[in-house]
Amino acid sequence: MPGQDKWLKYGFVGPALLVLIGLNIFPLVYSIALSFTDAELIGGEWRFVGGENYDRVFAMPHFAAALRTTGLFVVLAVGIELVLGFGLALALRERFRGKPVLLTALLAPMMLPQAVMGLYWNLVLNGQYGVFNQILGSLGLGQPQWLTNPGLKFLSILMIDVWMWTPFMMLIGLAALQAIPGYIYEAAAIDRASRWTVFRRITLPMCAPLLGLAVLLRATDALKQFDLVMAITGSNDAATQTLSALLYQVMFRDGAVGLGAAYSYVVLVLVIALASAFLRYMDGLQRREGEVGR
Amino acid sequence: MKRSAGAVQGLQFMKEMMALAPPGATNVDYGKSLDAFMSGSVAMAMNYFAFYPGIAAQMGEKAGFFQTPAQGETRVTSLGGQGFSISTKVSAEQQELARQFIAWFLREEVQRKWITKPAGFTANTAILASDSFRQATAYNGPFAASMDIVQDFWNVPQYNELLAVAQRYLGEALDGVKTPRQALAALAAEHEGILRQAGARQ
Repeated sequence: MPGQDKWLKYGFVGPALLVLIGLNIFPLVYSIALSFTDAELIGGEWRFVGGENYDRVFAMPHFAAALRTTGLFVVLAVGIELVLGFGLALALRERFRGKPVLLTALLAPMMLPQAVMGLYWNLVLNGQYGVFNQILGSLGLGQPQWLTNPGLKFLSILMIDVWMWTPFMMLIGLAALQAIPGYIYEAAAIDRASRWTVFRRITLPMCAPLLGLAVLLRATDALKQFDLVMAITGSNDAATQTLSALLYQVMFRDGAVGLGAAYSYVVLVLVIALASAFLRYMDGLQRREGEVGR
Repeated sequence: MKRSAGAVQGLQFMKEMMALAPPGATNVDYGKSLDAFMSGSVAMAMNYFAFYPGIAAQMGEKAGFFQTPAQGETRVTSLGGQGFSISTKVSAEQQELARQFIAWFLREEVQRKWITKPAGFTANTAILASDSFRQATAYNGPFAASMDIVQDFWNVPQYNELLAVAQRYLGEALDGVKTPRQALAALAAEHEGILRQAGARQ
C-alpha cells in the first residue's frame, strides 16, 4: 500500500535524520549564530555584536603566529611523510620473506591514538630521564632538551607526527604501485628506458592521483594538529601553538565562546579554500595526463 | 609596573635561577616539581603552600619550608590558587546565598576549625598572628609571614586571558626567545589591549 510505504520510509530514515540534524546541522547553525555574539563559556546573557568577533580574530597577535606555525608544520610534515612513505613503498613493493611481519610492524604507530602517542613520547623525549637521551648520551652525541629548547620543541612534534603517519603514506604508495599494470614496465624494458626514466615517466605519474589524495587527507589532518601539541608542550607555547591549540585556548581557557566560534569559521574557510585549490590542481593534472596519453 | 626596572631585574633573576635547575626544568609544572622534590632528585624546590602538609606528612623532619627570598629591599610573594569569588552570571538570589556562605566561613570559630583540616590555610589576621598557629607545623610560620607580603594577581573577569598572555611571554623570556625587557614590554602591551577591549581601562 503506497501510504503505508511512505510512512515506513520515514520510519526508517527518520531516526538517522534526527541524529544527523541534532549532532551536525544544529551545532553548525548554532555556532554560526554564536560567532556574532559575545557568548561566554560560563553562561550569562549574550549580546549581538555583529562582525566584531571576526575583526578581533584577524587583529589577534597570536593568530598570525599560529597560522605560520600550522602552515610550516603541514608543509614539512606532509612533505617528509610523502618522501619517506613513498620511498618505503618503493623499497617494499616486491615480495620477500617476512614482508607481512615487517609491514605490520611499520603500520603499528598509525594504529594508536595521537594523544596516547604524545604522552608516550613526552616520557621518551624527557631531557633528564628519557630513554632517547640516554641512548644519545651513551653514543656520545649530547643530550638535547627536546621538550624545552625553543628551537627543538617544534621539531619534536614534527618528528612524532612523521613517525606516526609515514606508514599511512607508505600504504597508499604501495596500493598505487600495485595498481600499475606490469605490461607498461615490460614495454619500457623493451625500449631500454633507464630506471630514472621509468620512475619519472611511468611510476610517478601513475601513482600521482592516489598520492595526491593521500597528501590531501594528511594535509587536512595536519591542519587540525592538536593532540601532540597538548601532550608535548601544552596549548599556550609560542613555539608550537597551532591554529587548533589557539582555538582551544580562546574557547576553553579564555572562555570566549563567541570569539572562538568566529575563529573556527575563519579556519574552516581557510581549509576549504586550500582543499578546493588542491583538488582543482589534481584535476588539472589528471586531465593533462589524459591528453598526453591520447 | 610590568615594564619597571625592578620587574625586568626580577625576571632576569628568575631566568638565572632556572639555569641552576635540572635540564628541562622550564617545562615542569607544580606536580612534577613536587615529584622531583619528594623523590630526592632536587634539594630545593618552589611550590604552593597547599602541598606542604602532604610533603611534611611524607618527609617529616627531612623537609623544611621558607618564604620567597627578598631581592634587596623588596620582598613579595604571590597567592597560589584563588580566594572566593562570586559569579555575576548567576541569579541575584544565588549571589546573596554565596555572600552568606562567605560571611559564615570567615567567622573566627569556623576558621579555627578550618585550619585543622589538611591544607586548611587561613587569612584571618588574629589566627595568623597567634603563636599557637605559627608553631603548630613547620610550614605555618612561613605561611603567616608570607601573608603579610602577598601581592595578588588581577582580580578581574579577564583573569584567564591575562594569565594566558603572562604565561606565554614569561615562558619566552625563560626560554631565551625574548629578553626579559622585550617579554615584559610585549606582555604589558597585550594586557593593556585586553583591559581596553573589556572596558576596564580607557
